[in-house]
Amino acid sequence: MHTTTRTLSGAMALVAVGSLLLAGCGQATPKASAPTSLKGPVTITFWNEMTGPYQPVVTAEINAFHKLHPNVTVQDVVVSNDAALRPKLFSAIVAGDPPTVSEMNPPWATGFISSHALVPLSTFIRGPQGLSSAQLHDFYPSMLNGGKWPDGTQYLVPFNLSANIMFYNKTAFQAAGITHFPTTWTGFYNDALKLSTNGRKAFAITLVHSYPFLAFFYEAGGHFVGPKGQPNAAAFAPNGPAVKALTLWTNMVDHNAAVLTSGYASDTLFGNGSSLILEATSAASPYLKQAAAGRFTIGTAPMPSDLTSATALFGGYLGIFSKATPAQQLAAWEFVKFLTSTQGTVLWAEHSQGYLPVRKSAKDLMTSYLSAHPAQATALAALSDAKPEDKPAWWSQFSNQILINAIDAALLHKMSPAAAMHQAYQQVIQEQAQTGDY
Amino acid sequence: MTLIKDRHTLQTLNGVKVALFIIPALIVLGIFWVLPLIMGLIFSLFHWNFGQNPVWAGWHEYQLVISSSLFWQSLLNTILFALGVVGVGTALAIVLALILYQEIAGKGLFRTLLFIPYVMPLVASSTIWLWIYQPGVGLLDRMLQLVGLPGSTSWVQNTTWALPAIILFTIWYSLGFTTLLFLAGLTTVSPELGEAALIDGASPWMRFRRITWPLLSPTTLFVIIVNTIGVFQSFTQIFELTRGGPLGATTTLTYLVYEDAFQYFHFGTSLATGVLLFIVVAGITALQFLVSRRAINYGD
Amino acid sequence: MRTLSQTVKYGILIIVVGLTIFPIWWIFSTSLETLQSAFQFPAGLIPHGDWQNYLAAWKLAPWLRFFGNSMLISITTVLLALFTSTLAAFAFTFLAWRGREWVFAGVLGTMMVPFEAILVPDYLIIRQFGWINTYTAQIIPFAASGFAIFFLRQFMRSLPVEIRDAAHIDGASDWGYLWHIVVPNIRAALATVGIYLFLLSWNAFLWPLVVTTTANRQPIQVGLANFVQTANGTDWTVVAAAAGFVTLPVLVLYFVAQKQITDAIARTGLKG
Repeated sequence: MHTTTRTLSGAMALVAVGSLLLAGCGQATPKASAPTSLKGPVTITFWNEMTGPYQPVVTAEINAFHKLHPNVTVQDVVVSNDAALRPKLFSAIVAGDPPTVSEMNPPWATGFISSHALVPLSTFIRGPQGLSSAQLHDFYPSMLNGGKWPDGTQYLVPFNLSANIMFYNKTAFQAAGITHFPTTWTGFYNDALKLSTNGRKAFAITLVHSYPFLAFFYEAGGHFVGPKGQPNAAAFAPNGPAVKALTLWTNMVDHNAAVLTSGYASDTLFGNGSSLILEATSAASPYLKQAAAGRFTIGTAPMPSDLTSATALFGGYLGIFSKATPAQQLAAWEFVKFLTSTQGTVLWAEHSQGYLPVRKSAKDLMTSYLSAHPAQATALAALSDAKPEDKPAWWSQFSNQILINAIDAALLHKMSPAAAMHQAYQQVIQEQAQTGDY
Repeated sequence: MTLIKDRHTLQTLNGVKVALFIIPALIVLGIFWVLPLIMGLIFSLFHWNFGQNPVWAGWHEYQLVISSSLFWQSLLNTILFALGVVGVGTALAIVLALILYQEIAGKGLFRTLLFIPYVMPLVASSTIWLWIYQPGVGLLDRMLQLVGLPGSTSWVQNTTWALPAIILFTIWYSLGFTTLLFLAGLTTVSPELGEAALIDGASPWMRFRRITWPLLSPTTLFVIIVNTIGVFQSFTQIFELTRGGPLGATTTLTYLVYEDAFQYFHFGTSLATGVLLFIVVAGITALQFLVSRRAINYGD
Repeated sequence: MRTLSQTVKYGILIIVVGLTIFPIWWIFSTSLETLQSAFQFPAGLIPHGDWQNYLAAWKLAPWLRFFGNSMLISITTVLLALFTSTLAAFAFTFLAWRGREWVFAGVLGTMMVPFEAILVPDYLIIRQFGWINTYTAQIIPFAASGFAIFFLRQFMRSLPVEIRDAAHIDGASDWGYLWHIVVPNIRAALATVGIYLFLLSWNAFLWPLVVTTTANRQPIQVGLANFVQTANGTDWTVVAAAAGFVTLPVLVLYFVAQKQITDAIARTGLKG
């Protein structure tokens, strides 16, 4: 009987939830009057994807934060990667049950913002517990800008990010008589050709994300997002930057100087010497070291440049959810401030063995660490040329599907680079019409 | 009068009895499977991109889905995937089950070994197979090189081979379970029938064709239906091995549903695709039932 | 003639089983490899007995807790689902009632629902019940199974007529008939479907990922995924090692269960 009653009330509640959902999900407006100081004990939940080797570092950060704020308890909820965090966040937000603070990539946040699920951090930044202008300017601008929306609101602050660089097999380079990693596309192409002998293909292309391509595309002077958040037609033009970058890759594949791999298998190919150049963010560094296992020296270099020097910034930001109570929001803000403080970011960058600090002041404190970890040093040096991930609503499907399909189509000879990019433009226009900009 | 009343009572009693037998299952299936499907169906009639307020859209999301070439490509992929796995997997499993049903030495060991892939966590085994499929240096290419073939194929990064690679993995993964289903089915086939036929001088093939196969046909239908449904719902191996690529060559409908909702936050089209997928599977299953109705011997 | 067919049988078995377990053997030996020689071919085929990787993987997470959670969830799910499904299958096979075929079609239909599509609605329901981050959320939605009902009905239908008629002669009630006649005769089917349900629950990933938030409620698949795939790469030796100690206990369980099936086949002795 009890079960029946519960079932019934559950079903009725469901109808209520259903209609609520249909009426517009997560309409909770940000709480207007946030408390200005933390008094009673508060518990906040922190969702992130820093699993495996990163988890102890997150724990260390939380412990350090607990020491500073004994009345705040941070619950760490970890999931394996984007593919796991996205459905989890999505379901939780739809059900009106999000965490207090979560790691996320800017393109997902665009959706969360338009349903008012995220608190504008600008309010906190300007508030009594905020950041001074000096502190704000201490953030690397390219990183901070990635969390800022076109209306000028800062919704996210950078946490675990890194810039794209080149890893190469220094031993094999030296054996081929190449002393320095090439600095131009032409040099890159020629060296890769020279290194590709005995069935070895120098450049391992992997498309878990599209940022390795984006880095080349940016160097050719491209930007996919126009001033109003619309797809930029010029970027896709037959003589445009996308076609140019894709033509380089296609030529390399055609001349057996590059190989298209899948997933993180490229790490292993690099590790066992089947390929000699791998493009990745410095966060991949510990995995590559492990794959190489001391069989050769790993070199790192900035991306070879074309029209400009550029690279792609990739990684996670922190955002606070509006469903949380004002006290939780404030506690979460304190936590976010701590994670992105000089102390917090140094701890993170040094122990995660691959991510970059988000503050300029951290660099001076890390000199000895950086000299022992060239990948992060290289990425940090490239940061001034780095572009943060774009974030109009159409970006997710564009960068994960439309763009990757265009690259695959050219590399697999289904289409010419120009035709592939032309088709990609048609598709992205359609996607934009469906999902909008910001 | 009394007679009619009694019949009523009997019917009511029977109704109560039936209810007691089926209600526990129906409550669970109703609340956690049918109700969400109905909710999904209702939600799919709204334009529901994440972050935008849902707007009544009627069949608009369905029109969007049907007009996308990826949907049709995924449907075709799904059907090819099912044909490959169910066709080859079922035939192999019948052979193995017939051998393992007999008294032969070490059959327990063979059965267990065959079952290992089904027991391994899919996340782990498909990650392992990603390495097996690596061009030139993966286990598959190495083995091909050993027998003198070129062995430098990008198995999962190639529009021709990616789907067969997924099919091969899935057969490998599910063979032990399919064999087990047939073994269980064979328990209902009386060994004495076979012996009777043996006395009559029937050859092993004749025995199989005339006796075992007809008696096994309910199991075969069952296995085909269950495996078809299983294949239609496969997700993990596709995600780990190819992420639906290259160029959508391994995007199945289930993968499309996942990708649309959780990667691109297109909740409306995702739900519409999910509803269409349900209709497709139900249609195929009904077809399988109808086609095989005549051929099945239930022994009653 | 007999020896020839024996040879053919063993030939088929050895080839198929060999191909099946070869990748697993390879990965097992890789998990024992030192990093320097991992993924070398053919050197990787001979394990070197370095159990360090297992030790390292073991220390990385509360595996015993994950394991205990998974065991609790899977075993409870199997027991509940077998119970509800046996009852339902009985009603679909032996009881006559109006609308039986339609309801059965509906039950079959639940097998075909793509879970990815109902994930969000199901999450809403679970949340209404207050079951977020509980074992209940991972058990109750799977406490009945369209597959199990279908499978068991299939077996009940093919029970020989003598067994069906036995009940009428004895005048047994339906309830007694179910437990004393039907269930003992479909033990092989129950064991088979039990294995299926166990593995379905054991391998569940997306659902527990979404409904759980803390390690003390998470099953082993979610725990494992945290090591198989991190945001930046894969640690192969850990994958292999972790997969090893996640697989092995289940395999032992299966070995025991399939012995049950074999015994059941031998004991029930269905006569035509």
